[in-house]
Amino acid sequence: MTPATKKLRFDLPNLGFGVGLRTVHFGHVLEKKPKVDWFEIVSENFMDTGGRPMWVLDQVAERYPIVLHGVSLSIGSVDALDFEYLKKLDKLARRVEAPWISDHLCWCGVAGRNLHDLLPLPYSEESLAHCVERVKQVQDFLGRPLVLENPSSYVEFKSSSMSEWEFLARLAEEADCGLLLDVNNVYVSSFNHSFDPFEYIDGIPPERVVYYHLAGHTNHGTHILDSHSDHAIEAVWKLYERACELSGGRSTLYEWDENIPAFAVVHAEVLKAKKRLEKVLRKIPGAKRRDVAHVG
Amino acid sequence: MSPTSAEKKLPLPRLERWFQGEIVRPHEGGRASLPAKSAVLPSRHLSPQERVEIYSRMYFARLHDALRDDYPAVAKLAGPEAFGRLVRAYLRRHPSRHYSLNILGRKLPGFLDGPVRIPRRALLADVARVECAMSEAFDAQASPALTPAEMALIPPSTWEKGRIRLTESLRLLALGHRANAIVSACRQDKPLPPLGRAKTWVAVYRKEWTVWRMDLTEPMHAVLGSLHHGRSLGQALATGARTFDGSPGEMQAEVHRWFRQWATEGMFAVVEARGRPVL
Repeated sequence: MTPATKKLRFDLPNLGFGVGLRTVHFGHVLEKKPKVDWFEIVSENFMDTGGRPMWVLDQVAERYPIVLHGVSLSIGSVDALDFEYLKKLDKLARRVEAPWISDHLCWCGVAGRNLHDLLPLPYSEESLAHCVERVKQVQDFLGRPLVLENPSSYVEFKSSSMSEWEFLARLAEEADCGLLLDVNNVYVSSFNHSFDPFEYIDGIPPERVVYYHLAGHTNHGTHILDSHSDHAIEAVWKLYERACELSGGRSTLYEWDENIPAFAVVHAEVLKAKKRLEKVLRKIPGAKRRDVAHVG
Repeated sequence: MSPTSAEKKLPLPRLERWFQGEIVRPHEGGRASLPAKSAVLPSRHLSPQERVEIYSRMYFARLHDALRDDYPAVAKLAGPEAFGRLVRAYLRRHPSRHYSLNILGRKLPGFLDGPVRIPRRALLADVARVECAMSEAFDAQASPALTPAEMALIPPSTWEKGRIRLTESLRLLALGHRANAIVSACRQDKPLPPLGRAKTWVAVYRKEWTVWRMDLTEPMHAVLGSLHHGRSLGQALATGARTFDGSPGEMQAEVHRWFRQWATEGMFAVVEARGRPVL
């Protein structure tokens, strides 16, 4: 294996090692001002509130870069795009000066409904053409590249004609968008659908990967749920290392959404990613230590 | 067994409608239009139907928990089984059509006013009104709040015909039960007050990013309600006087006390005279 670090396709910064900003940590973040490189927020939680969440966010945004990560863009739905939603998303992004906006390769509902889930798409030529067109529309509207995340999934459709990683690679190329590679999701789906997760990682064009997500999951024996409820397991860290070998390292974020522990525990988890990246970069000829800068 | 070409090529719009239908069907009823094996592959451990059921379970759990988070007192009073049935009935009538889960439950008080079958329906409706007002106050847009000192600067000539605009977060409730006290007891795990019918009035508002609730008397509610509807201060006080049990002098003293309290709590945003802000 020859590591081949790839420059990012887009002119976006490497933010370092971040943490998902969650309500239970608001007080800690405001008071302690932890030495975390950046935060990611769930966009929808801040789009329609003038209350405390926005007050907190404005203060956090003064000190840290804030990335917007949505769950309701519904890029794969056959319903029309919601431009009112996109207007609010754009307004929020401008307010916090978000370096980029991400969401998921999924759909959330159809016929006007929202099931508030990241529903899987069939990986077919029809779906690809549909998503490419919509990603272009969203990017035109927002005036910036959209970054799409690979979802965890629990079903595979018979109408799929290609792998998820092939779909993502083609989508990124044809729509000229960025990718958020959730390494835990790769592992979860590889268990649920019996594929080789390393083949998936190797199939994602590293120059399109804007950042990585890491998280814990829940193994139910017959299937794994992407619960964001624990530490990442070693197999996920190995996949992260492989992804970093290919890209040379990108912004990395740890998500913890159930049974959320103290902020320091979540922060410590993403700092493990820094150590893993340093280990990888030591093996890459010419790799620069500054690629893992930021975290104090 | 290989799938037929029709199964393989289920078009995206039909596939999405089918999959969504399968997710909500266990909770909303209806018949399957296609067996899961027509569109979904089995895994090593799970049949196509079992794989679809993962989404169906998560769908209901997610929305159930979102409603329980917004309505903890309703959930506690109803009990887990009845609350689960209530959530199913509510989602059948008001499926989420918005990108935010935060507003999923905003129609629950009105839904409980309707013909839903649940014990203590009217009580639950009142408790839901209080909890809904708390959610709305939490998310309301920020608006300025006049301090008592600022209110004192208003020229006396302005008061009779002046109008006071209330802060965006303020919600005024007239209830048929002791719903405010019940919400407090449920949320603090304390003994419940009497659950029988009793007229009560409550203001729900946000001050310094925290949501507060204030018990009101009927005249207090009438005065604030009139101001909320854009009536002049004179008209609002006249409305309050209709239900005030005391002399005009006593009413005047009370009104001073009320306004000091309301100003201290930041309920007033703007005072206007002849359509222009005085403060």
